[in-house]
Formats: sequence, C-alpha cells, structure tokens
Amino acid sequence: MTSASIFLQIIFNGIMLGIQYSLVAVGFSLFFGVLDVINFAHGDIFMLGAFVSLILINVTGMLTASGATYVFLLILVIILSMIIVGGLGVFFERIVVKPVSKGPTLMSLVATLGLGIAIREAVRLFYPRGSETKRFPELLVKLFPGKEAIEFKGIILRYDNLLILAVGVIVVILLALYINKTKMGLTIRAVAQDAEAASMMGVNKNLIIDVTFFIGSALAALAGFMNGLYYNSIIFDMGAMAGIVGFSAAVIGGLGNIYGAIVGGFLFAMVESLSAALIPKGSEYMTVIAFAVVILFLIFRPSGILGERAYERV
Amino acid sequence: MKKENKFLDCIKIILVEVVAFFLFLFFLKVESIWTVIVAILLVALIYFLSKIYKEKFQALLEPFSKYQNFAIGVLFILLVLYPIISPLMIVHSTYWTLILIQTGIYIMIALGLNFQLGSTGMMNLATAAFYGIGAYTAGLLALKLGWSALITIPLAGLAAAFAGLLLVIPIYKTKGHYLALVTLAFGFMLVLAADNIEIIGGPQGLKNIPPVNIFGYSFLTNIGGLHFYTNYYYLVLALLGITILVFARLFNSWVGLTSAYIRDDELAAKGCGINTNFRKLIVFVVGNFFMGVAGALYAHMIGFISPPNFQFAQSLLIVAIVIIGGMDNILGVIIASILLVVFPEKLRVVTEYRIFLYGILLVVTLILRPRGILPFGPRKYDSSILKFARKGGS
Amino acid sequence: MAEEKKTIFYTEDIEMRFGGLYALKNINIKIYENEILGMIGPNGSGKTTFFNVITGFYKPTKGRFYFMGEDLTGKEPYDITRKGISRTYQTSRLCLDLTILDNILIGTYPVQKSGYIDAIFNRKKLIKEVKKHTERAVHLLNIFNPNLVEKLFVPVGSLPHIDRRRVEICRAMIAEPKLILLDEPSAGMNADETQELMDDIEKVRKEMENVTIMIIEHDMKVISSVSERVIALNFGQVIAEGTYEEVSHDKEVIEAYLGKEVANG
Repeated sequence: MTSASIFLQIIFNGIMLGIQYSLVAVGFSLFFGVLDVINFAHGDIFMLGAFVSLILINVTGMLTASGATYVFLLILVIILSMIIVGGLGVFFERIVVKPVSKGPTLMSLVATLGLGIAIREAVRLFYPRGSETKRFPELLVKLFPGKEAIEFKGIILRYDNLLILAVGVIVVILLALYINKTKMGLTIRAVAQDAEAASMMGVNKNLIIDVTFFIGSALAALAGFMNGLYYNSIIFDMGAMAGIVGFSAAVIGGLGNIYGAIVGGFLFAMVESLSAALIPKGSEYMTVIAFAVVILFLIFRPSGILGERAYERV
Repeated sequence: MKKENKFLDCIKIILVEVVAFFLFLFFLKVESIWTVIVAILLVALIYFLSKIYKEKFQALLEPFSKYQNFAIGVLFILLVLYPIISPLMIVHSTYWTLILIQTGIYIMIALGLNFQLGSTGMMNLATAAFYGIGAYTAGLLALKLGWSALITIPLAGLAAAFAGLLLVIPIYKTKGHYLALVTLAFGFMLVLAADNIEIIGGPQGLKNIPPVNIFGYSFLTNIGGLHFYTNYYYLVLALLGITILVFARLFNSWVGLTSAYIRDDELAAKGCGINTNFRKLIVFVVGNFFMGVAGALYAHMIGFISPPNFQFAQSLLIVAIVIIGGMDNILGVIIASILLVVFPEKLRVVTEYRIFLYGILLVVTLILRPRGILPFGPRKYDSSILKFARKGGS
Repeated sequence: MAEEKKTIFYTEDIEMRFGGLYALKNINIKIYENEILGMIGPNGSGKTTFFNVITGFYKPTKGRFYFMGEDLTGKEPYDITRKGISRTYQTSRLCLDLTILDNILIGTYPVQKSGYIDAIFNRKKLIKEVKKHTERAVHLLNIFNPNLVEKLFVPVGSLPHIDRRRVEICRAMIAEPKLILLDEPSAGMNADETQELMDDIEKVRKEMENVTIMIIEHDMKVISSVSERVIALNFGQVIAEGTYEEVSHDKEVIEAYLGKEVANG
C-alpha cells in the first residue's frame, strides 16, 4: 500500500467512525441543552438500535429476499428500528430521565447510569444467549453479486461502508435542515440555548423534550445499526464505550451545541483512526489516546470547540 | 431516679443489640434463601410496626441517641466477640468471616466515596481504580521490595490520593459533570493499562503477595482454633473504626459544613467566601486515601490481585452503596454495604441478576428517595452546641 | 449633610456584555459609607447583573470597580466576600436540607480557623470556635425572630418564606461585612411579610452601626421607606439618581416603568 492510500484509509476509517460517534454525540448535546441532563443511558440506546435492527432483519426475513424487495425491506428495517428505539427513548425519558432532571445534575447522571446498566443487563439476560457476540450480516453484498467491494485509489471500500457514508451524510444534512428550517427544530435550538427564555415565550416544554428524546434516540439507534454493519458483530455491552465516547465528543464540541457534537465526533474518530494506524499497538490504545485529547480539551478549552451554553444563572 | 433510668436505658441498648446480633448470626447460619425472604419480611414488619406504635418505638430508640457512645461500645464488643462465637454456631464460619472482612473493606471504600460524593457532591466513577492503585502499590512494594505492611498500607493510601490529585488538577476549574466523565474514562484506562503492563503482572496479576506481618507475627497464623482470617478481621475492624471516627468528626466540623454547602449550592458557597475548587480537591484526595488503604488490606489478605478485581462493576457497586444507603450518612453507608454485599452472598440464585438489580435499584432510589434510605441528619457538632437551641432564645 | 461623605465603593465605566446583548453599560456608581442605597428598575434592567458583577460571579467585559480603595475587578466571589462584601440572592440561596445553624454558620467561613487537623485531633479548639459563632448566630436570630432559636437544628426548608429570608440575612451579617447587598429581599412576600422585612432592615442597621447597605427592590414601599438614596437603571444604564422623591418623579424613570404615554401625562 502506498502512503497515499494508507492516508486515505485512515481518513476513511475516521469518517466511518466519526459518523457513528457524531450521531450519538448529538443526542448527548440535545439532552443536555433541553433538559440539563447528562444521559448516560444513551450509549445503551445505541446498543438497542443495533439489536432491534438485527431482530427486524431476522423477523422480516429480509435476507431471503432479493432485488427491489430487498432494498425496500432494508429501508424499512432502518426506519422502523429508528422509530422503535426513538419511542423507547421517549419512554425512558418519561419514566426516568425527566423525573431525575429536576434534581442536581449529578443525580441524573447516576440515575441514567443505572438505567443504562439495567438496559444492558436486560439484553444480556433476556436476549437468547445474550452474553455472546452476535453476528450482524453484511447487507449490500447481496445486491452486487460477484464483486466484494469497490477499489478506489488503493483502498478497499466495502459496499456496506459506502451505505454508512451515504446514510450518514444524508442524515446529517437532514438534521441541519431540521434544526434550522423547521419550527420545531428552531424551537429545540432555542430551548437548548436558554430554556427559561423559551418557556417564557409559551413553548410547550414537555412536547419539546419528547421530540428531542425521540430524535436523539433515533439517531443513536441508526448509529448502532451502522456500528453493527461496520464490524459485522454486536454485543450487549457495546453501548458502554459508545456512551463514554459520545459524551466525550459532545463535551469537546461544547455541550448543548449540535454542530459542536458533530465536530467532536469526527475529531474523536480521527484521533482514534490516526492512533490506530500510526502508533505501535495503536489499536489497543487508540481510545486511551483519544481520551487524553479530551482531557487536554477540558483543560484548555473547557467550554468546547464551538462553545457550551452561556452563563449560569446566579 | 436518674441513675436508675440510665441503668435501664443501658440494659435496653444491650438487649436490643444482643438480640440483633444473634439474629444476624442465625441469618448467616441457615443455608436456604428463605432467610433472605424472612429477613426482608422482618424488616418490613418492623418498619410498619414503627409507624403504628410510634411512641413505643421512639421510646425504644431514644436511649441509642442519648447514650450513643455506650451503644457504639456495646456494638464494638459484640463485633470483637463475633469471630469467637461464630464458629460455634455456623458451619461455614470461615467463609462468612471472609465475607464480613470484605464487607468491612468495601465500607472503607464507600466511606471514602461518601466523603467525595455524599458530603461534597463529587462524582467519582473510578473508585475501583483507586482501590486498585492501593492494592497494586501495596502488592508491589511487599512482593518486590519486601516492605512491611506497616509501610505499604499507608503508602498505598498516599498513592491513591496522589493519583486522585493528578486526575483532578487538570480539570480544576471545570464543572462537576466533567469529573464524572474523567473518572469514568480513567477507570477504563487503568484496567486496560494494568492488563497490558507486564511488570505489574499483566492480565495474570500479582501472586503471592506477602501477608501482613507485624513485628514478626505473621497474619497467616491461626489463633487457637480460629482460621488466620481472624487476624485480618481484627485489623480491618480496627482500621474501619478509625475511618468511621475520622469521617464522623469531619462531618461534625467546618469541613462537613463547607462540603455540604458545596454539594447543595456551590454558587452560594462561593458567595460565602469558600474557594470551592480548592476545597473539592482536598476532599477528593482525602477520600481516595481511604480507598487506597482498603486496597492494600485486600492485597495482603488475599495475596492475589488482578485487573478483573478493579473494574467498573465494582465502582458501580460502591456508588450504589453510597446513593442507596444515604448520602452523607455514615450509618446509611454501613447498612447499604451490608445489604449489597452480604445479602447477595445469600442469594446465590440471583448472582446472574445482581448487576441488573443494582441498576434498577439505583434508578428507583434516585426517583423515589433521592437522598437514600437514610438521609443525613442535622449536624450537631457537639453536645454542648445542642444546648443553644433553647425556647424563646438565649 | 454637613460631614464629608466617604466613598467606600465605586465603579468605573462598568460594561457587561453577553454576546451581542449589553446587560450593563457605562455604569458609574458610588456607594457612600453608612448609607442605605436603593436600586430600582424594570425587569431585565441589569440590577441583579450589577450585583453579580461586583460580587465576582460575572467578570465585567469592560470597566473596573473598587472597594475600600482596592481594585476588586476580576476577583473571584470568595475573595470579594473575604474583603467584606456580603450578599443575599433573589432566590434566597439557602441549603434547604441543612439546619438553620448550618446555614448561618457558613457565613463565618472567612474567619474560622480550624481545618481538617483540628476537626480530627483537636476537637476542643473546634468546639470553642463553633460555640463562639453559634452564640453570635443566636444573638442575630433573636433580633429578627426569637422563635427561630429553638429551631436551630431544624432544616431551613421547613420554615416560612420570611424566616428563610431572615436566616439568609443573618448569614450575610454574621461575618461582620462592611457592605451588605440585598437582592430583592421582598420577592415572594405578601404585604404583612414585607412590612416585617422593612422592620428587619432597620434592625440590621441598628445591630451593625457602621454597615453600608445596598438594596435592589421592586416593591417601592420598601425602597421609599428604607433607602436614603436611590439609583434607577433601565436597559443596563443609570437613568436617574437622587432621593426617592426625586427619582420616582423623574420622567425617564416613569417612562421606563409605565411607558411613554404615562410619562408624558
């Protein structure tokens, strides 16, 4: 492999991971902005997305179909898993997250941590042979018989990875449009910036919270699906790390700032990708190095790259 | 008349404690899980009775707060006698002694976390990591350098304290939730590091750590007919007693007061002249010290430590103990430790579900009873200060 | 007004900007020793922001302020408190689960001397200090409401609003500050409680003869009865200064509160 292709591979890997991390990080920022909570169960929502999509893949019998039916079922599985997990997100918000958000932030942190653990263990205990790694099938290879992947400038691009890329870009654009152009989206942004001002303007806070959690959870679910597709495997505790990474990325970008979360996600992924490729034994330490970068950010720019929410009310 | 009342009160205290003591022994002795169910029912029964017969119950409990020191003294004597009495009653008494020692070690860690989290509102999700630093420090010093436990134990505490210092300084000026993130990440990183660094044993850990040896007396000695664990029982009991005393005194002092203010309203604390960042740093370091000491005790006693001992699951357990037991309440922490460490040993059948239940328990506690089963009581400082609360002013 | 008034506090062109919004602009305010200075202004005029700036919670984007000749600009709240400025908050920041005694004793933090070592090894010294301050706390409580003394170890959360405010005032007073800032003390009080509050402020003055008080208020009854001098703010700037009589008749002030039409008659 030439150094150019190695470089391209690093960038591509970074983008692949970056999309997934960003989608999770956006949720963290949204929840913090709208409800002032750190939702540590969010990583496990990501995990639920992976498992629910796997269940749907099996239930719809998608893998036995072909052609247009296959594509249709694939899209159905993706959207349905996002909706289901989005709904679960709202459910958990109603019974756990919102009640504890009224107290100190630290309490909501622990409560959501407990919730996340309960979700994680529930999957381990109640999903058949839950503690084992589950195989997540390759999805797009079916449509292109004969060829395994595309080669581009020396790097191998699996079809599934291209799918992740395409879907990721589309979703990010849709999200940006949503929070900038639609009434609900703008309201969410307003509430995320200053909840008190927004409530004085007669905004239905509870509805905003529900919508926010739905969107955040749906995005995390999509990321979970992507993660399963990327590694071709899922496991019950995949959400633990994803949660920490997502939270870190949101912090780097500035909690409450949606664009910041996206930037943070990509930054974290790039650091990981670079470390894995360039440092000996890097793939084991890449997360550690990325965390070190996060800590550096906390020291030198605690409000994040794009800025956290403003002043605390005295 | 007064002398007679005092005598009666003391008899009441002794009676209640001795009955509770033998009930506990009985609970440990009987093998079936029915004991747990009976225990829970009993506690529920007592709780309901206490609501119905409020005055009778208060009359029963009053001597305990009036003669607190005496009650503690009696308890201490019972605890000292335990290792001698238990083999007479329980078949697997050695096993239970070990469990109790383990509980005592966890109480020590939990009290350290309670000081950070319960008293001061600082979230530390890496308690197991700091406990591990203490264990590895003591283990390495004893194993590779042959140093005595008298030195390794305090040094282990200092190592954990120092690690805490290094971790907190970079995020000195940032908000609370960052500490949670940093400790969470640190916990994972430490286990990863311990797994990969060969000098400290790697995934196999450290084996054959020398036992505690005070002036020639090795703790591996069996005392009379009692298993050598008894030595550690008394050591942990003594150190735990000191720990409890230290934290109780800190609670009833300026330290406790400023910590509580930092926890409940940091801005108001700043407005009262408190340099909150600095105070929090000290609290964190002090809390960590005790976690390190606990780790050292574990290392010497078991003689073998490895990375899986110090994972997030253990940190979670300690957090659960503090939150469920009662924030800033030493007694609550002790009770929760017993509940969450001893009970699961009885409920072998639920071992699989343990972590799941911890999660649920945390959520339920925080929603229904955010301050824990036993929320903290009023800070009394000293009995002489209590006298100021007189009717109609001084 | 024969004696020369000593200025103990003054600001120099304070500006406080949040993004594009000017919460305070060109603020030049003097506070004279021993006076009770009132500050009024419609919601959002910058009154509490002013307090937050001079107590160090916000750092001003421009300008400086001086207390007793010392430049305190940029200092942290805990430094400023130790220099002798105490405050109360609009939302009465007390720790509701802690006792009355705890909530007042915390006010003596700047002058207490015992730390960790004393707490553990030298209880006698600690208790002596606590006793001294508790006596003072009891003394202060007696001034406002003797019934509170027997409730020393009761959580503040169980007290009615006016008593909570009193505890907060005691907390501000106990460290013997030179300047006390009261931020809308009558917030949330009914007419009877407000009357008691006005008496309370008089009591503060009586108890601490040399103290200077600055009070932000919405309730004009309170301002008119306790302040010797009043400053009015609107949109972050000073629009009037003088006695209550003068300020309440100032056209700009009336306009700020009631609109142009009423101001013009």
